[in-house]
Amino acid sequence: MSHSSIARPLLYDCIPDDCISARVEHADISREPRRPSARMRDVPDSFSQRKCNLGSGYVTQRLLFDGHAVHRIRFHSWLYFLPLLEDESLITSRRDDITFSGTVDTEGGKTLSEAVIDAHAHVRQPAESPVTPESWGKLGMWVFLAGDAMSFGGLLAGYGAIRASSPDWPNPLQTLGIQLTAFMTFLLIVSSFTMVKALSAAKHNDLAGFRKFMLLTILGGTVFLGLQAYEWTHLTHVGMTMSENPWGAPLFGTTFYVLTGFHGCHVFSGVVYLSCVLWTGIGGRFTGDNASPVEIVGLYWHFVDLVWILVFTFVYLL
Amino acid sequence: MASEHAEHAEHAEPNYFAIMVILTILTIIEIIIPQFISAKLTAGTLLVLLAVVKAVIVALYFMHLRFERSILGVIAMTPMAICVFLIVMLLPDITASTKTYTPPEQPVASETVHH
Repeated sequence: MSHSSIARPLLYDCIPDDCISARVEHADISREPRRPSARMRDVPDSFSQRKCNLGSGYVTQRLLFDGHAVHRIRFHSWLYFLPLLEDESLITSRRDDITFSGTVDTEGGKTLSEAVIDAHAHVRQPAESPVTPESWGKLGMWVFLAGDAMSFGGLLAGYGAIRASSPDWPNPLQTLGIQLTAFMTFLLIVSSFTMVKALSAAKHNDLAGFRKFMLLTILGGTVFLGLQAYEWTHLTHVGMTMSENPWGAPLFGTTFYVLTGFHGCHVFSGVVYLSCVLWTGIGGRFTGDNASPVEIVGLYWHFVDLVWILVFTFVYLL
Repeated sequence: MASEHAEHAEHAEPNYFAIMVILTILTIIEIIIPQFISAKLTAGTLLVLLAVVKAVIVALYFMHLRFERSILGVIAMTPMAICVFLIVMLLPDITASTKTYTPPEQPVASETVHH
């Protein structure tokens, strides 16, 4: 509800109590009807009809449910989206100038601005366009992951360049040992699996399953970190450090620690992030239609798995 | 049409367990390859190929990229394209530096000490 706390004072200031009739400068109501959020269905059927002036704006989207049309309207003055319940017939469309009469629930002693804010609070997503994803949080995570992928890409490319120009590069298969790392890879794959199961459980309102699989995912990440710490300790004892190693090119150690360390930081962040999501959602906040945060943390976690698949191949196996 | 596609995706859930098993099997194959194929180039190509296949499987099914709107695919592909560009740009540098590095001759210290 944090988003509405910003909107509240603005809307209170701007909307007169006896509202409705907006001059809409551009209307694009050709979009397909989409499923309204669950809370919007709770709005009762009986509305007292009042009219007031909302200023100018444009219809960004039209939703249909239970025979009612809901128009999301973007107002120029304060750029928020107001879903207003109304009869389709009350919309008169004249290309550049749409006047609509909306009906808003003003029962229960609510002023119109409160009703509008209530309706507004249930619409979480901004304007739709053909390229807009289902969730903005998801888009944000994907953009972050794209940037992160470039970080890893840069490190891996640098590693490749250094390795290709070093004739005395040690054989990682003989020096690093892959039994433990193979198990770590398996661990991350399994934790990716438990992550999708956690998301699936959250979506299906299975709170116990969500808790169990999130906990297993966190456990997988933690054990991975523990094994990596063990591996690093072992390698340091053998004599491999950032600056030298007993087998050949000194940069072998540098690239190894930088790559696996950068990935390990991601695993650590992922464990913290997963723990936060589990902590917040442990009471059932992310079940059903509200599973988006679980999906987003899942995206991050799978990305960490994906990167490890590449790091494992390039650093340990090649 | 795009939203219709997304609606369908919510219902169709891939068999995640099977995907996990496939990833594990591919990992085992990866570990076995260096022990059976001694030719560096063949083994390397196979390993990279397998790693890419595994990464793509994770992205498509675990990260649901297969069921998403195309814009997310475009976002996901952008760093790949940039990384390919980076590697291509690095190639001349790699091929130019195949000679082993020799440090420059140190000036003889004793000559400067006297004056």
